[in-house]
Amino acid sequence: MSAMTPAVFHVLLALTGGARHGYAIMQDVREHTNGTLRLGAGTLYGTIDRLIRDGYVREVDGPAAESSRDARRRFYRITPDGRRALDAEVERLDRIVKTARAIRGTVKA
Amino acid sequence: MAPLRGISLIAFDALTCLLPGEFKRRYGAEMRLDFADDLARCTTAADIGVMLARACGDLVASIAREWCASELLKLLIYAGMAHAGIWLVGVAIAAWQWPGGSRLYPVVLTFAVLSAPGIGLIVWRQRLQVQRAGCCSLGVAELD
Repeated sequence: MSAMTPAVFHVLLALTGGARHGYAIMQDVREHTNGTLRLGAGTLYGTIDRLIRDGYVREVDGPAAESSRDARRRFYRITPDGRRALDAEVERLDRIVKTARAIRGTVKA
Repeated sequence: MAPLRGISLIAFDALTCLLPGEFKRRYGAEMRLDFADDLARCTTAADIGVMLARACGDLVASIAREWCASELLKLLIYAGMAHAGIWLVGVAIAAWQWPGGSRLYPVVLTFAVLSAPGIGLIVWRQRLQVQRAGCCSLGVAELD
């Protein structure tokens, strides 16, 4: 995966904190981005579906459900491949930001 | 507020029905749960309206995206193109005026004869998919 879409990036990022169900991922993404990125259900599960097919995320058994509502939810966990892809993307973004800062610094000076 | 919530759920369910079958079976129930949870957090009618508009917009985009990614759509496009070609062959043959004076008969005959392998191929593919799914210990009913 070369450049990740914001949805893919933030879903993987949310899953680094451990296994989560879809709604928890949605809320984590909203929180991480201060509400600027709100994943709709269609986008979220479409992204999860593609990540599962690519081997970056897998479905796991969730913790003992606190309610019958939670029991109906599926939990997802990031795989080692997913973690590697996320690390690579963070490094790529980091390089872009460093380059942009360097260019901006040169222009200002 | 309760009727508005009910209407919103109906609208969401109606749109969810348009998702490709496999995707809907896999994630439909969870999507509905998430939407219902979001709906429960709304305190005013305006909140519900904004949330519904946002969810429906996302769902419409997802429906288009999932259908474009699905094998079925590709199959339908190929089948449609093949059938259009077959009809054109039939029409060309019909122009020769077959014995008996009928121009429609050769078109129908050509269409039927040339379509048979295509239909057979689609049925065979479906059976193969079900068999493969069986090997992976998935229920046939799950895959439809």
